[in-house]
Amino acid sequence: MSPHRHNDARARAHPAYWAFVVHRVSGLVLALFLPLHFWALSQALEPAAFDRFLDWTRQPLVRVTELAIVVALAAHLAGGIRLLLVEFVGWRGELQKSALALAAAFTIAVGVLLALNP
Amino acid sequence: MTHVQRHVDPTLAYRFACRVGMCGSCAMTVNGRARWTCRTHVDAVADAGRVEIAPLAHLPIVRDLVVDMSRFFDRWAEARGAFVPTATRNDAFAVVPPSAPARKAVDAAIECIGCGICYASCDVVAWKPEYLGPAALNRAWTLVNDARDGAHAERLRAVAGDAGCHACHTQQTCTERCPKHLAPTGSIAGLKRLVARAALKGEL
Amino acid sequence: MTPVAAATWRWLAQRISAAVLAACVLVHLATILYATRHGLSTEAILARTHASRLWPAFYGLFVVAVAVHAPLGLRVILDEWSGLRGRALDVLLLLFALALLAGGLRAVSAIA
Repeated sequence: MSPHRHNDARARAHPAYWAFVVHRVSGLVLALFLPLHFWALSQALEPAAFDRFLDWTRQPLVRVTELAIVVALAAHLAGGIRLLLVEFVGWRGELQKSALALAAAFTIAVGVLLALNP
Repeated sequence: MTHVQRHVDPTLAYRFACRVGMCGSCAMTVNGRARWTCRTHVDAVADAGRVEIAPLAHLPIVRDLVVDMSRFFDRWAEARGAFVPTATRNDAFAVVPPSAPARKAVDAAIECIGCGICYASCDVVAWKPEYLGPAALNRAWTLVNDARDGAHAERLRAVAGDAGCHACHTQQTCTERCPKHLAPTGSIAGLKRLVARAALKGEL
Repeated sequence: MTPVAAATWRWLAQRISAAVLAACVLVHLATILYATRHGLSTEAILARTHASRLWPAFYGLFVVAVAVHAPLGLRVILDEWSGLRGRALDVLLLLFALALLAGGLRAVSAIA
């Protein structure tokens, strides 16, 4: 495009945009995590190897990463349901902020639940 | 703006017409957000006593605060954003009940004056120059819901695809910034539904 | 198929797989939380998944939905933020889809 002005962060500072960023980043994280997840689970085909692998996952750094991934999953799910409602049920302007709040609340709830049940 | 031109820099170029929020000519970026400057009070937007005024984003700059709106209206045409009549002067008036769901959908989106604020606020426009954009798609939505229009099928084909409604990610900046309080996000979601239905029926 | 029809079908596949995954993920989250709350060991979990054919069937469906949904999601990101286009993009994503399908079904066989 010929010389034109670009928007900066000020143009993007509103909740629905943050929801978009969360949805995209969480999706990317999950997509990259999944091959690793499938590999780890298929280690269960060999019980001894799997037990060694599980011991490794009890390290604090791994536990924190697991929590982050589950939170990413909850965020992507909640945000995704919001999008499915907008696209298939229809747009209701007055409900949008509530939908965002519900999605955020669900995500936080899942995170807290898992953090409290290690 | 007028104060700046009269007292600070007489060479300043900017668009300005009705001064009452009807024409949309004065759309610009104020402290990072696209607004109508005629309806923006300085004390409402001043950030720590500073006001930064810039041209609308995503459109070629002609001079100072004036941008070339051609691309904005080209997208409008590409989205088939024009009414295609089917009746003649010999036909009776079309009867469209205002309470009909389709008419309500049109009424909720029809007040667009083509100011370009939504187009300038949309990140997908920034990432994809060929994207039709919120205004063009919103107008197409009002036309596919218009019972009198005769180009529904072609219009759905025009607005579908990776440069059309499917490129919208519901960021909602358009809806957030629209000075007429329209919801292009909702219109685009509606187009997605209609396009999908057409595809499932083999009509796309 | 015209490009806009192809884009529409991709959108539809993305949303349908999303709906399937919404259900699968809710079940998955519930089972993970249950397993961690009750401190289930590997043997205990595997005993339960071996016990019913519903578990491999459920996770098999989960894997197929993921193999559709993840590559389509990546496609959008790459299309907007990378220089990849057309053929190269389609091939890369098909490979990713097949990798997910293969890896996922292998993992399902581990719990069957």
